[in-house]
Amino acid sequence: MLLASSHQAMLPNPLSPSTTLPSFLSAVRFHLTSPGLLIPVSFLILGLINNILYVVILSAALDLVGPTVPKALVLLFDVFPSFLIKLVAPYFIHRVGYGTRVVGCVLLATSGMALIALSPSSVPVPHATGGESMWEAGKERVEGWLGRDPSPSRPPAAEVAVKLLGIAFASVSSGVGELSFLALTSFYGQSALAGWASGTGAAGLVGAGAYVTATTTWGYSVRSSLIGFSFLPLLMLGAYFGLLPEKPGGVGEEGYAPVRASEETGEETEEVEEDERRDEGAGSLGRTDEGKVDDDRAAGGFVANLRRAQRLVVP
Amino acid sequence: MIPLFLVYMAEYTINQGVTPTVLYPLKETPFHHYRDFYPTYGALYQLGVFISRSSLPFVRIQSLYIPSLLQWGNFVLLVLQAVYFTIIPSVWIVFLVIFWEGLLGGIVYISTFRRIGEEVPPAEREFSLAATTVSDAAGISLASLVGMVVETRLCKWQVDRGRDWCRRL
Repeated sequence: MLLASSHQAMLPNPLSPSTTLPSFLSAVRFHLTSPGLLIPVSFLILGLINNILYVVILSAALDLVGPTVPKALVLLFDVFPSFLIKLVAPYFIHRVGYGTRVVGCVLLATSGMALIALSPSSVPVPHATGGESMWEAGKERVEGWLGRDPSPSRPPAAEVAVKLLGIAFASVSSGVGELSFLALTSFYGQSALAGWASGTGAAGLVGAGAYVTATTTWGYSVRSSLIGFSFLPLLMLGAYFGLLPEKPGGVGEEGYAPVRASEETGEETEEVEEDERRDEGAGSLGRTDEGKVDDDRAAGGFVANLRRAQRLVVP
Repeated sequence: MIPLFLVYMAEYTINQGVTPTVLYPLKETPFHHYRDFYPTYGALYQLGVFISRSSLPFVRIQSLYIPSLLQWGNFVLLVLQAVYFTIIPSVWIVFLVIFWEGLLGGIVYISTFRRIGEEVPPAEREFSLAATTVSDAAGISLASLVGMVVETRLCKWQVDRGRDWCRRL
């Protein structure tokens, strides 16, 4: 095993005389599935999807409420729920395991999408027909957002409220996602943070572009585009549960790649790892030796966290 | 948290409040309509953010406050341009400024979280990373309120002085 791993640690060289096709393919597979690549790639996907959903849902909702609704109101429902959840959640969300959180985020974002796509919408949405270019239609949309559209129809308040609720769901989902995944990077090293940051940056470019492409270049209605985009949360599930390796034993440990315990030692190790994961999740409350938390500890933990937050305010 | 908050507030106030009013006569620009400015500014900004946010393995800055100050400098510069119009002679320079704005925003984001990962004791890292995310949300929230006021007033200022481009979007 040791021999094989030291041999496979070299990047595959197809021109070397000792290379055979099976050894080459096995070296490629080794590197493609190594934590060194999987960790940043999965965080990149998580960052990308977490923020793309947010951008797409916002764009769709802006279109569906129409230009009579002040853009500021829509944006407020878009940022304020995220702000509130990020403010309070770090103090209690450690009780919720990361897997549960990812599923929760996906459900919230999908519900937000559903609320916006499937609820009644009486505002006629301008999108490209035959000869109109993507650019023209995009500009019409921008014009609407800046509140300068001349004669829009005013949608009923209940309809707008439902769309705003959908945006709020998406906002909370993205807020919980960001604080959770950033916290998760503390277990995987700097490459995780690099992947996450790059993904969130790409989401800004890709998200807006994807939405405009779907609704104008390809001519799908806002509703159909949203329903089409509803596969995106699955990618998040896939990246977290499928791609991301198990947490390394310590915090921010680098060096040895973790052994794929699930394949080699079976059930018992997996359960131990799950417990470790949960215990490490409780780390910020102050670990007792048993890894349990009682109420007195909990109160001390909350105050301790407040003090930690205080120290973070001015770096 | 404070530098992240400051940068995001400056950034989003610029994007929502100021750039819709930083316009030039069309013949001096590659555009055919006044409403082309805004999406282009947005795209340049996002490009800057993407490039800087992807630079974690390559770029390392220690100070979080200097980029924040520079970002507010951007804000002041663009407001002055919107108000006086003679500060920045060409739209191409504005493109650069907005791209630079995106670069600054991204670099503060990654530097803040990188430094938390490096300087905070391991047991506290998880909580600290999560808790700090509130600062960019706070900056954006405040900017979304302030931006609307800034945009309205800047546009009105311009229209009162004969530059009604911001109404012709």
